[in-house]
Amino acid sequence: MTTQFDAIVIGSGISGGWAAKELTEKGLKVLVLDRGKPLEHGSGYQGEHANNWDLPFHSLPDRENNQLNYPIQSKTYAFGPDNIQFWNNDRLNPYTRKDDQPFDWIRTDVVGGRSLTWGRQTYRWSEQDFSANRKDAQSIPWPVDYKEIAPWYSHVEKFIGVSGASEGLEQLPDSEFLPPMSYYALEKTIKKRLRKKLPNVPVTMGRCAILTKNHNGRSACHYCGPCHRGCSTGSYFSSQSSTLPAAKKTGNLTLIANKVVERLEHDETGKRIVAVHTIDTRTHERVSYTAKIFFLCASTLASTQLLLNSSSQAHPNGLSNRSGALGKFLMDHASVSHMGMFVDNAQTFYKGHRPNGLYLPRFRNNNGQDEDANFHRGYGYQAHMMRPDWQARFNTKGIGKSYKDSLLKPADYWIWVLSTFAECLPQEKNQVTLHKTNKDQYGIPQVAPSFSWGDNEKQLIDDSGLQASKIMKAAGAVFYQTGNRDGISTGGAGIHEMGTARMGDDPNSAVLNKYNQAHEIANLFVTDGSFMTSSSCVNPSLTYMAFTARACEYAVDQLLNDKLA
Amino acid sequence: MNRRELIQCASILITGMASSSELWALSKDQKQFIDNKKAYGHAKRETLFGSRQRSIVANAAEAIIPRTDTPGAIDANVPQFIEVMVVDWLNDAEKKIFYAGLITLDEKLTNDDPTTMVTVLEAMEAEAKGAAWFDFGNINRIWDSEAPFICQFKELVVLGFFFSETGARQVLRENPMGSFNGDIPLIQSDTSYGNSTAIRSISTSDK
Repeated sequence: MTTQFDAIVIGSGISGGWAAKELTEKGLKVLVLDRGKPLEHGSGYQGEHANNWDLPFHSLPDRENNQLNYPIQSKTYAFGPDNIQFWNNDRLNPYTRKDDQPFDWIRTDVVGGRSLTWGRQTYRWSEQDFSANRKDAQSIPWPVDYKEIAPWYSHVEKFIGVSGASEGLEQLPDSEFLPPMSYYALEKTIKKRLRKKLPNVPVTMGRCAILTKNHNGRSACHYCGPCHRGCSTGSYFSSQSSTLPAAKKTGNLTLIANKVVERLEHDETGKRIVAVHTIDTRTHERVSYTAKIFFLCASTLASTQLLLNSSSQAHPNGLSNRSGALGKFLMDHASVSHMGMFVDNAQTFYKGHRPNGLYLPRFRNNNGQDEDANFHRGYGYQAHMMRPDWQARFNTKGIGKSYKDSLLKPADYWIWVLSTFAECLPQEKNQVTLHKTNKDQYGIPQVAPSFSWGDNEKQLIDDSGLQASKIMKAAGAVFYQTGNRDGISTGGAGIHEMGTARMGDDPNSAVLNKYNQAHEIANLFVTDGSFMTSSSCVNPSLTYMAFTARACEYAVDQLLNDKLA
Repeated sequence: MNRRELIQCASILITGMASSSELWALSKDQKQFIDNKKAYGHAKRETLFGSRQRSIVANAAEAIIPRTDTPGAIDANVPQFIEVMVVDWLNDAEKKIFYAGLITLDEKLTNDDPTTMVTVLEAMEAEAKGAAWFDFGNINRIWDSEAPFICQFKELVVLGFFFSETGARQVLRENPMGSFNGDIPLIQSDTSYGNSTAIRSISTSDK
């Protein structure tokens, strides 16, 4: 069975939703395929309003079920009984995880993908990020610069709505901003102290795709807290709340869920994709679709899996892999946490749950190497403010009224946590291959990642601990504890996996060109995280959106000018 | 009714036994209250607590978090929560500690007086004072598998209480939605907010 569309988009997450919106708005008939289950905006969010007592075990982690069905997914902070419906069942859909080169593949199994569960932090790359590979020669240069991408950042920001404060920082360009969220009293205290004692460490409100004003028909945030359950008021960006409705409005969208894409088929020239072969996740029925252009947005590991699994005589090592780079140069952001205890502003409190924190942008190696830095590139910190309650002190002596009363009030102190996200250098040995024998339930070879942090990541993490001590001290912490490489996150746990189908001008070293177009297959575009040639230290989703929109404009222009044959 | 009567009444409630004059004399209201209560029991597994176990668990929970000028453990259905957690959530090794501890507790209870329960629990807690459970910061984990019975029990009471509707809304208070303000005065009498994310779910994640 074959059906004709102008474009097929594989994946409906952060990048796939954008491809659907841009392509349908340009008049193309678009088929979006997703392996995940259908999920309606609003009514589909089963746990959105769940109280602790509405959930099994009063919302405590179901250890047995997690171990059996979600051993990987249950590792992430965003996973819980309140949104378990979103996540991939690791027992039914495993991948091959190597104990000695571990990589945690955090993924969902619903339409909308991780645009439902993401942390919503949105930051632009700077010229420093785009030129890093060229300047320190750690990898191939990017084929674009910030100037080219800036208008596309504006384009996507205006649609999704990004709240934040303009700071005029070169290393963290300002976005098109809605007003920033407001501060805790202690955050104001900390910011004032840091400005005085550590003026080289900037502090700003987290920039996030959460609305502080009504925007494009979606409501401003009402500060209930757990965004990762799904938000029926559309107050944060997700495919469900934003891009898919826009695509649907055009009348040009067909969305089919429960379809795993097994492989792409090219024509006899090897230069054009002609068909997408799918397997229904429920019936295992095989259905194929054709189109003129194809956008691969299945997420980093899944897209590369698909390219590798589509090998043929013309493309013996995976599609568009003359360079040998396909599957290689896998990256994630390295992470570690630091905490400080503060007794200032203890007589102040808060109302509402703010789903955001402060952000401390990169201040190391800006515009050249810092003298005391034995590492390349840099890192930033995401900050979280917490006022401990009974959960932090139930483990004390006491039986009866005095024990009960001791648990009712907030603690006399605040806890401020800084979480480092450090840039990861692209290394050839960090890669994704198809396992030679392990297959998934559809007969598709399992993804087998190999990953280990390099010296540079470990040094960045160590330095972030050293600097965090200075920050905590200057901020006025009465007690603090910092992390180092011993506490470095597992690869993949940053949930910013990127690379393995990198872009570059030279087809001998890159899979894609500057427009996310496969060097060897003109009607194939890959716009999820797999195209990334380096990783910066900032959260990448906004960059995926910008490149996707830009690639769509190029692809349609090429199509209309008959340049994709 | 006074507190002693409440606990006796609740024991009967929890044990599921029909009101019986063998054990205690109940007022007509208390009998009515018990008879109207819905049947308990929705745990997955078949091995539930026996009636004596239920009675002890209910009385011990109430001793740890009593009804004061605000509801207590029994008001918040903590005994039922504890039963489900022990039967369905603790692993085999942790269950063993719990059941052995419950037997020990039973043996130490020489009478049904609520003050005896408090004394016995305090003594068990004093005996356990070297346990790592009491270490500052030993809360950023899903469960302390080494915790002795008295610590397990207290933690279950606390979790069952503050994550219950009664505990969250009538003892603590709910964080109002609508807007965020990070700079409001904290009054002496202000409680912290109930109905919030379990910290251990986030702090134990790989970051």
